[in-house]
Amino acid sequence: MPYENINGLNMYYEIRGQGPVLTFAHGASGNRLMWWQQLPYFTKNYTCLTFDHRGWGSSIDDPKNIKTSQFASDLKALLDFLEIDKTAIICQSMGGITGLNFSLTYPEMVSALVLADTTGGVGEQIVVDLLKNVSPPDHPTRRALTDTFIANQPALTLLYEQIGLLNPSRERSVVSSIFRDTSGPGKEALQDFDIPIMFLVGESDLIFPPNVIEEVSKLFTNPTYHVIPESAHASHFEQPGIFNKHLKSFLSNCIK
Amino acid sequence: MGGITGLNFALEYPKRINNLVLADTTGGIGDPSIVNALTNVSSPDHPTKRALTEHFIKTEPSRTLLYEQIGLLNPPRERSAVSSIFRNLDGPSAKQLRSFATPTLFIVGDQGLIFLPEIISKCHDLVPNSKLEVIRNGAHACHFEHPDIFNKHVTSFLQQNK
Repeated sequence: MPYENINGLNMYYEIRGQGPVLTFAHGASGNRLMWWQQLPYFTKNYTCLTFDHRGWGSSIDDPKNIKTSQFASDLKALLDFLEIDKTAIICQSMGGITGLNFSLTYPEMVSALVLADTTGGVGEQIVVDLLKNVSPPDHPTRRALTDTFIANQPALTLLYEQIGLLNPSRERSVVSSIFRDTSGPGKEALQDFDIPIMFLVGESDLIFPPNVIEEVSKLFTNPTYHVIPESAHASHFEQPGIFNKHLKSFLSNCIK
Repeated sequence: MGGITGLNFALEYPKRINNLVLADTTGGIGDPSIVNALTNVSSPDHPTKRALTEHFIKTEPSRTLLYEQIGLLNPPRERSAVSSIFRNLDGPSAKQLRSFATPTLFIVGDQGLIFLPEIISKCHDLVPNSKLEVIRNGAHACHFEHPDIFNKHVTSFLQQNK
């Protein structure tokens, strides 16, 4: 599976399946490996593109200097290289920065946007204020998975942690501050947003709790919004069956 | 491939190893009976088809993909570079193994395509203080396909050889 020199980065990606394109944008505690429970479910009917963000996984970049502002243009360059002119973008956590920025900059290229366990970096004051009161635990699995999952699924919990350890180590604060930045897209920037959008959030998400995500969803016209039971910040990982079902039904409604 | 590490290390530093588990590997034993038997083995090229049973691939698509993706973390290389290490007559000999006293457990999947169960059984015969466990309906990655059975065998082996 290939690397491609893109935007001055040796960017790693994998492409599987056939049909309309789905692009999966991973979160800060993962990389392309975190979608292993989604891909086989969607490759039958869709072309699935996974990649490692700049500075994550195998897309090696300066780990000290994270460049989330370049994520959307990195994705644009990758899609251009692959000659993909339309895709749905499925984002978890930090991947939401990529997906929302990309959708605002290149709306004609996006068939649908899914923001899972993420605000997408929305800068609206009310959202940023709500996040100021949120402080999840420091431990990499305790902040992302429910206590029940950690107790009952030790092997999958370890896998979650080990996927994260493939990334260079970095301070959590550099990622979490991006979501507490009022210069992110606000009400005005979002008022004309007409790409079909779905929010998914784990009912026990400690990083982006459902009340925050619900507030974000209100900034959009006609959003789809689902709370995923018995899951925290990694609902795609803890509850792949429910996650995939919502994703499948949303995509089949907006991609004809 | 880890068996190369384990068996060579145990032969070189026997005092530092109290137990050795060789799962789905000959450990690189160089006795002609093993090397010749392996010469006739040719497993499929596809990375999952050669390591997992067809049943697992069919019923566990996510885990199959995970297996493949873990492999893709490694740089791409020719398979032959690894498989030739196991077909090398310079590997540990039958004579060397006669005095090898480390308690050793061989584990093999009964559907293993890379190291067939009968070849691992020959290895077991060459290693004096060894046991053999065959995992049913498992191929080359039986730790991955049948972790519970695999873990049970390892646990009971370690308990017997405390």
